[in-house]
Amino acid sequence: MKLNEKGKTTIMDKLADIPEQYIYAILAVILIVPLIKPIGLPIPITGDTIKFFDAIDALEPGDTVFFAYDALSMTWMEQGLGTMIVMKHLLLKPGIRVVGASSSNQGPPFWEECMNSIGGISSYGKEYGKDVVYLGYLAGGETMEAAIARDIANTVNVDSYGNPLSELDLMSEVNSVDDFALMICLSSGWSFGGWMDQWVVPYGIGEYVIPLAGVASDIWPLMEAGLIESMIAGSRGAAEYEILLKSPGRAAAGMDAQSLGHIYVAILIIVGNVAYFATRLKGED
Amino acid sequence: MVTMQEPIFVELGLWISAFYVLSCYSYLYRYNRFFKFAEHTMIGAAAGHTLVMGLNNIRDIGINNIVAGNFIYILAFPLGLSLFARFVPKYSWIQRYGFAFMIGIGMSIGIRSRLISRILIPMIATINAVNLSHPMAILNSIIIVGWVTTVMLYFLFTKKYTSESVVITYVRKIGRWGIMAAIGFYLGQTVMTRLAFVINRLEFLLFQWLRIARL
Repeated sequence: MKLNEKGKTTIMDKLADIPEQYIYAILAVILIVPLIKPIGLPIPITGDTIKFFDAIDALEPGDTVFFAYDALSMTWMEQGLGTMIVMKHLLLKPGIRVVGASSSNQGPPFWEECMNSIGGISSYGKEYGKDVVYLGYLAGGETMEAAIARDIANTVNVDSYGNPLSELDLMSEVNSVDDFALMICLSSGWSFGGWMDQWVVPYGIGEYVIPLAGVASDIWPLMEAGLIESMIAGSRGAAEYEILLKSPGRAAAGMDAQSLGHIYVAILIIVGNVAYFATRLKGED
Repeated sequence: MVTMQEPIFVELGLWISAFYVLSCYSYLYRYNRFFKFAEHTMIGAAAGHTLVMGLNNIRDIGINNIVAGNFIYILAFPLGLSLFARFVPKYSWIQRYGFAFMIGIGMSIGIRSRLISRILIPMIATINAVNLSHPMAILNSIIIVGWVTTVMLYFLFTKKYTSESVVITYVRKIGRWGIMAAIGFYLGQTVMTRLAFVINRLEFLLFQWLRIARL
């Protein structure tokens, strides 16, 4: 630690030298306390989430939704919340069918995780093969996305569980992008961009995205341009969706901790900047 | 029949998961053996998973299609195998055929929409964003068009700007402020993502592993 002319450390020097372990420990306390005893801070609902919710809610019996399920283990912790509540909404609506496929090879285990977490397809009175089909991981990136947009049956023979598509009732009714009312993309990073280029631009289907909050700022301009319809931005968006569906869950419960964590990080940034500029003013830089 | 849904296996899974979560977060104290073990396990598991999923794809999309009579899929096999030629220096040139095919297809499929979705439509949307109906709309229009233009000029590298180029210097400075504001916005959103990760794992440790009740 630096000493001034009088051989003493100043407050600014002390602030600049706080061990990082203390910063993490305080953050842990700030996050754990509201998780155990929620404060109940308000969660205003944003227009993006309302638009997403309304689009799913407006689906008619017989409509089929394509779910681009590009889950990744490192991002599931945030995106899983939004994915589970949207999947629950889709399964709660009578007559809505879902076809899923993953361009990420980690998609299949997280499809199972999602279905198990929301109680399984059968608990919603739906049946695999008739109301829901999961094609599994399909390699090839945008080439695959372009191929299944035109013709699923000629690209893929079996679903994720090895069932021939010809034996699944739902797949006899849907085979290309034209058979879907809309598509939802659980987007790992920028994977929604590939689906946008291969499904939205050539065929005009509406794409709704479940991105990481960190990617949301990339999507807003695309929403303004009409390329993406709407999105659920991170855990905040998931919490809003849970409230709209009147099914508050893990995302809503975590919002107090999220808000307090943000305040803490903002204070750290302010303190860090004050200490930095104070040190510079003293000419010690 | 014993399945992975048996309570003992579910409990074992919880403890293994908790061990790895705590091992990963032990890095915050300092780099240690537990973190290293978790890191190596993750890399090994990911590599194994990728291999299995890749083999499944060869079976499901490649072999199954050929068996079903789509013989065009036979072409994919020599092209795919050619990629392994890189391991034999004498014949490594063969891999170029596989790569050339992949790059050619990827480029042609990607480029047909990319120019439209990444340049043309956003450009039109920026022009359409201009709204002069009321004072706030005018201000928004100035901010959108002004910053798009100045940021574009910031990345104009074809001319060396000297200290005499006062106007362009200020224009580029405004563009830089726009970039800094956008980066700040990204940081805020990224903090939300990172905190969501931590909160999710804390929820797991508190409520699933330790079974602490919410108050």
